[in-house]
Amino acid sequence: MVNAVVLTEQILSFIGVYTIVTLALNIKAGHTGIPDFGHAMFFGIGGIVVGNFVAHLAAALASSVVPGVTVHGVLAKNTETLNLLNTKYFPTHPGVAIGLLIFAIVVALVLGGIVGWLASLPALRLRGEYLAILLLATAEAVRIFVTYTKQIMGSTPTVGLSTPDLFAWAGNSAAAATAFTVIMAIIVYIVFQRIHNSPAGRLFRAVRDDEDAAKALGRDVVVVRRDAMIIGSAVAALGGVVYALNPFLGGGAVAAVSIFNRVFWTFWPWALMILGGMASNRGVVAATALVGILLIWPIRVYKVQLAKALGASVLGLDPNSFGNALEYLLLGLLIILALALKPEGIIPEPPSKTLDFRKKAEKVLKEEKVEL
Amino acid sequence: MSEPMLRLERVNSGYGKFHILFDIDLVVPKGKITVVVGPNGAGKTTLLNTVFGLATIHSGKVVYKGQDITHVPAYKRAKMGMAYTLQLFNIFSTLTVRENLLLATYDIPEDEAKKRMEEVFQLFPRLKERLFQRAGTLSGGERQMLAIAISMLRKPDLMLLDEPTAGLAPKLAKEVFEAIRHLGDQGYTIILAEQNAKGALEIGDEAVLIASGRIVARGKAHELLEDKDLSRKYLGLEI
Amino acid sequence: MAAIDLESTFQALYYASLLSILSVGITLSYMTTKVFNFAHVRFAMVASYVAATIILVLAKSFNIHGDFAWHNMAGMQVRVPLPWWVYAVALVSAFIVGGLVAVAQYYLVLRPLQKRGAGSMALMISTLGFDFILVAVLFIYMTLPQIRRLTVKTISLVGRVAFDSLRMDSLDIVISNGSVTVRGAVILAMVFALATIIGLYLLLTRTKLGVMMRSSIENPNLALVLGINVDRVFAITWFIAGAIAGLAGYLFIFATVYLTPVSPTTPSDQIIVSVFAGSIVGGINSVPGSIGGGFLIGLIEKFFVPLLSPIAGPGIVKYDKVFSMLAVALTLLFIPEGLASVNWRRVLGLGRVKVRKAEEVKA
Repeated sequence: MVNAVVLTEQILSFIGVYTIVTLALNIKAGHTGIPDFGHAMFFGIGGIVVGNFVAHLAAALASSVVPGVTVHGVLAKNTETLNLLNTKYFPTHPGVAIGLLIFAIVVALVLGGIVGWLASLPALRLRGEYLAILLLATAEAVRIFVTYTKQIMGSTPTVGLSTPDLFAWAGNSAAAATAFTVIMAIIVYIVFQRIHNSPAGRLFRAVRDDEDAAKALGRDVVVVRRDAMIIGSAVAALGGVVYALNPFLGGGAVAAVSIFNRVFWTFWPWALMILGGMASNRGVVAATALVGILLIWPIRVYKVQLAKALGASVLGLDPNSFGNALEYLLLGLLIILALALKPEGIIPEPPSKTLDFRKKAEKVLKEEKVEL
Repeated sequence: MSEPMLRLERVNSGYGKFHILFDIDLVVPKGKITVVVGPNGAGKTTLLNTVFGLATIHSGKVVYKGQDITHVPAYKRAKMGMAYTLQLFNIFSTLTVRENLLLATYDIPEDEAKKRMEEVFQLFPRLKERLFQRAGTLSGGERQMLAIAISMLRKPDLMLLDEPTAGLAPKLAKEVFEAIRHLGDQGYTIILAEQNAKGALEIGDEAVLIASGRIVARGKAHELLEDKDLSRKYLGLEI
Repeated sequence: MAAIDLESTFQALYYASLLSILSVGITLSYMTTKVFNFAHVRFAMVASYVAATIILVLAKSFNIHGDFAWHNMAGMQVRVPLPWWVYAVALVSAFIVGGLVAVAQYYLVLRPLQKRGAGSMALMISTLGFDFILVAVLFIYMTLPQIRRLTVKTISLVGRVAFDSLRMDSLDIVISNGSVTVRGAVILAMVFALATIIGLYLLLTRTKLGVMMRSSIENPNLALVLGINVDRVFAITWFIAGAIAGLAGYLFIFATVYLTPVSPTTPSDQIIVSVFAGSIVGGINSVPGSIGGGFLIGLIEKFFVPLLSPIAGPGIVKYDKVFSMLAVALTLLFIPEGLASVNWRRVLGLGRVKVRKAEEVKA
């Protein structure tokens, strides 16, 4: 039997983190036309900030208070150390936990932004699918590097590092984490909507639509691209932080194989962005909510029942594999159908809000008594 | 009156949803040069694309040699005897002149191919000089000659030429026009779309004037040339 | 200890050959549709499953039990567990299935979207979509009881995650001369790579289809004017690309050290980026380039990087793909059309020949 409250929290967490990550991708690819197929690497940075930096900092602060906690132990005896922190330190030091939370957010944004800036440098020279592959390759290199470097993600790539439970001081830390996820998603959405309707947003889209025209109007295209990469990558890293701190998502640990996984954190966001409508923030939210509520969670929770309903048991199919199959199948079909039937997306990009040209033109013509 | 080579009956066409040509009625007689003139963006290229099958036909019929080919794909129309010299990217630039010409006769038996090549060299002796030069390095005029030569080698029943003198110096343009007239004299049926209205109308037989996607005038080529009103309004010519 | 012994050299050659035949497929599909096909390596996966199924079915229905005795052949000890024709049938099926899946993607997904005017990024995403669908099909297929019997709980190379995968390397041919033992898959990989090079060369330069392919790729509109059915030529090209991938798929099922044995998502996800790397470094618009590039990337990863271990420590081999990604980055930034596009004569200082010729002409 599935607990309705827990289920709701799971769904909200899923929608929340994917909203953040996909909106971040939207700024880069949808608004500015930068084909970032390496988006996952920025997300992963957020996970590292939480699992590694925050853990070390927390251990440093806690080492004098909680016996058995050492900075060295964060990597050397990861599970033990984090367990001590989560049970003995954070519940009694809410101030520190919140401080670390803010620290994580800030550091992730800064680090994500810096790496985003670095990644924007090749964008000066490359366009289109060549840039896409370069970013894909870069993310791949980062992934491999992080996976096998013990100092970053621990000695076992699939197990990774346990995450500090920065909401341990709240009664129900999972619920608190979910609330944090949703709040962050809302904030990101508001900020990006503001950007969309601001001159900056129009500038991003101008560069995407007609680079030469933008240049002719005196805009430094290079700077615009760079800014989009910085902002989008910073927010992606924020998504990583959110993921790591949410037990419904990270499951208490961050592992290189999951946070740098290009299928989950590059390809799925691309799919959601296309589905929702490139450069359409509302579209992204709608698509994420739709996919989350109607597809992913029912499949994950009810895969056995679904398998039986679709007659899978007749073929002797294993429900786990079947669940995996359904997810891939539906996402794949959605992508192709969306591209074929509604390439502008569920909620297409709204036109830029500028002067109401037609009204003004009519007014001018009336005054001048010009006939067309 | 023999069956015209080509007939367009109330054709409306464009690209995808874009509607470019409206209610086009056109008769292209055999063995004559039919000139299509008009201002920039009027739809001359779209007209040729429609004939060859590279545009979307929204309504109407295209009848070629008495057959309704409205839904026949482009490569089949080529096999049915149409040759289209595009305005741009009309040669294989990475190949030599010789390789281009050989490619144009890839499905023709060798002795026949040799015969046709000789005809091409008679008309365009310059191509023979540049045989082993990479086509991408040819001058503008030579490229156009090569492009027309490729079409000639197909021994087409209907030749479509899209602005063959675009961007050429007047002397070269004259050479190209003369070559086209020569082809017309040999009996080729040609549809010649041109920005250079004067030069084209001087060598043409029939003519139509397209503006904003519609045919606004038609008749003998010299009639259109001598019509002062038309010339001034649409073609920017001062006679 | 990273050894430059014969065994690991063979493994490296196997891997390099594998990448070379996959990379050329990426190039063939790119040259025709201007799209990087994310689903390409998955063609090989589908072919793997089909080939494995056929081997299993044939072995069962003809009541063949693995003949694990050693025979003497041309002075070498050879062990051939199954009759030759079983391998042959499986191979041909892999070839055909790979081709068919590719054609399916061309006609069902790419062509319709191209006709609707989809841009190159949208088309690239659509290949992702098709890839997901193939994965789903494989997941479902893999759980069929007959296939499950073939699967083995395998521990992934990266961590302690167990997953179901096909493992048939015990059914592979083994050749030994006493001191050196080589598996059939290794030899076969190199044979396939060679066959691909020669086959494609002959196809493209000596046949009418080859001429049509080259003209359609260079200038599709002009090819139409020449009466070439460009659409069908491209579909045939995709079939060839997929069929060659099918050969790789056949090799997968006798997976050796560098490839995790076959499951719906691996080894495709592991090597797809290296396959792209091979294509790009060699030359995305060059058939011989991409074959060479794939081979080069394979050698970089499995042969040259291990050579660094005396300096960088044994752990360096884990970072092998970082080096290929570096190669990709350098190529894209400085010679985007790949190594094949470089005027090697000029670079290697063979320019003097040209200068003399110009002087002769002037005289």
